[in-house]
Amino acid sequence: MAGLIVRRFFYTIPVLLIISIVTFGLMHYAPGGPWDRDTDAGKQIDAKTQTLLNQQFGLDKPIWRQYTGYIFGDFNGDNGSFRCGAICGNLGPSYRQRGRMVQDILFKPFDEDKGFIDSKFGYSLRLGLLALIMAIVVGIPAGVISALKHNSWIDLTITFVTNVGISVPSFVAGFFAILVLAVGLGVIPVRQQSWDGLSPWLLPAAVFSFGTMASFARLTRASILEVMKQDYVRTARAKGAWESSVIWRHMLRNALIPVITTLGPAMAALITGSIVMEQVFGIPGVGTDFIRSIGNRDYSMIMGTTLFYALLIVIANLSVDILYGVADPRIRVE
Amino acid sequence: MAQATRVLGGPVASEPRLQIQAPSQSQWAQAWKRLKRNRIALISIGIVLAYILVAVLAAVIAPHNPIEDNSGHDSLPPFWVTRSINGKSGEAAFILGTDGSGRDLLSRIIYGTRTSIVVGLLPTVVVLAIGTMVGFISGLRGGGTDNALMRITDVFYALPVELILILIFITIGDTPLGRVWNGVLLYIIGIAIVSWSGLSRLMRGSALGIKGREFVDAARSMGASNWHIIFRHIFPNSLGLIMVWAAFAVPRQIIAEAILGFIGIGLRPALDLKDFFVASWGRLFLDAYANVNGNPNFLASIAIVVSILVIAFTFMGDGLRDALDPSARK
Repeated sequence: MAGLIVRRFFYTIPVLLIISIVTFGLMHYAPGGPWDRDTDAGKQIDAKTQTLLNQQFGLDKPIWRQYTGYIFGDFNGDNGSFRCGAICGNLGPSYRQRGRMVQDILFKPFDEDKGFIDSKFGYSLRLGLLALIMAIVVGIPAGVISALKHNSWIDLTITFVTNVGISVPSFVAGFFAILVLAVGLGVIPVRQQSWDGLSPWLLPAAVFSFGTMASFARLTRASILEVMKQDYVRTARAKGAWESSVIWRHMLRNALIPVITTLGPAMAALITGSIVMEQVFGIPGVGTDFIRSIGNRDYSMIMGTTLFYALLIVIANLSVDILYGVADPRIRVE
Repeated sequence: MAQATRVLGGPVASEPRLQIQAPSQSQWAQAWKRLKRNRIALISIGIVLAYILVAVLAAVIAPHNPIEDNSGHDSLPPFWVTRSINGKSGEAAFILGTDGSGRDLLSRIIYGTRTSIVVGLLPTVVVLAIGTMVGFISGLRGGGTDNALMRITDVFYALPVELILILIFITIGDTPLGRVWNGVLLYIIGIAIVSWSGLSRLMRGSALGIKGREFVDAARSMGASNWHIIFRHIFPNSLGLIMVWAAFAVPRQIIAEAILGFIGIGLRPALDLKDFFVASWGRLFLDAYANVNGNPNFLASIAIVVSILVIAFTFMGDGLRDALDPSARK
């Protein structure tokens, strides 16, 4: 088991390195620099200021050194002291929001007296986690019921809803929700004013989780139907085990293994998908900021957010691999 | 043996055979028979074909010029709405209404269909070429080649899809490369980068299963090359899997375009009717959502049009899977 964890952990390093190199390379290939369109007063920054800015941000150094400086660190702190890079969680200063570090923009609470959960990333995390919980709590039982009542009307209904849920993308589902609930019935405002508490999050999270919920339900159903035919289930019934014990201990435990494997992609979809969902519901999370930074070419912001999201996805996949090993002893041996 | 002889192009064995009662049917004929019984799948195929037809005939059937501003007719609701939220009533000339600049919505959706069908199908062809080749070679050769290819595949498999697409469009969208075909070429490249790895894993598994079968041994014993085995045995036997994969990949790519357009990056529809890509569903979502309070019918129209197509693709994919592999049917 320890070997599995270590091996998987080392797989993640090339992935992160390649993503960071590609991101960094693309940023530099892109036409225009971070100072190009800085026309607050309607004029371009003059060449001298640009040189100073470049020095300040370390953009005058050779590109490989900019990269290693960004990722690992460089001697560009006060008086040439060493300043650690992205591996220490230092994502560099934002090019646009002067005087702020990218990690502060992402993780610092909006108010001093509030916690991490009220930061930009805290908002995105709330949306994603809530959606994941909803998907698990509703999707898996729906799949189980569907399989146990195979070919009944309830099975057919769940299967149909599931198929729709899998095909309709969450942002289109969000549009339908807004059209019906906000514009049509006026139950909720098109744009929430406050995101405090739980209630404003329920609808966005429910809409967001719909696709994941559907894929969990579908997979659980298929998996249970498969497991139902197995010998050990017949044996359990034959020896007189209670039906609830057969379902919970014999069927569900084995049927959920394939579901666990899709948790990784599902979490990844919920992490990156929140960029779009935040736009649909006007949630001031990381996604909204990310899209704004695209617009005004805040390169360090784009780079930092991309790297952080890539890291999250890699961690999600890694933890699912480990979970898989816990759930299925056969994996551990291999 | 008979099969090996035939596929190698030699004379077909003509020795007398046992007479079997039922006429023999190819695997494909049987699959077609099963598909014909699946009404939902047939309707879905019909819908998909209808969209493709609309895409092909866009220039003929669009009632208006999709990029012409009809001043005085802006933000109209569909023709059956007599009084919309913004106080305007529909006009018979503009069946689904107009957008904020007075451009006919139906015509824009029709031209957007053309873009979306291209954006769904073309990348699929490219991904199929890369994904199947890598998977087949990996599965068939095994050993070091397999190991190396699969490590590369692992890295690409872990890339976050939307993020990479967004990144590519932010950085390259403004360059000459990003402007080819209004961004469609860049879109094809982006999709190819992020989605070949999933297919190649699938195809590697398929190749591994097929290469152990007797007819491959037979072909090999007669001196068939690796390429021959790939093209005459592994590819035809994986075709079912490939078709099902494609049926699910096409709507994914159409949606990815819609997402990019909605965020405000992605394709840049042309402003000249002489160009091919003059509207895209992604841009329509962006325009529609910006105006959701005044003209909600706009958003409803485009959301319904997109939903019908992606749902049809899903049911079509399910139908194909059931028809091609009845044992997988649950």
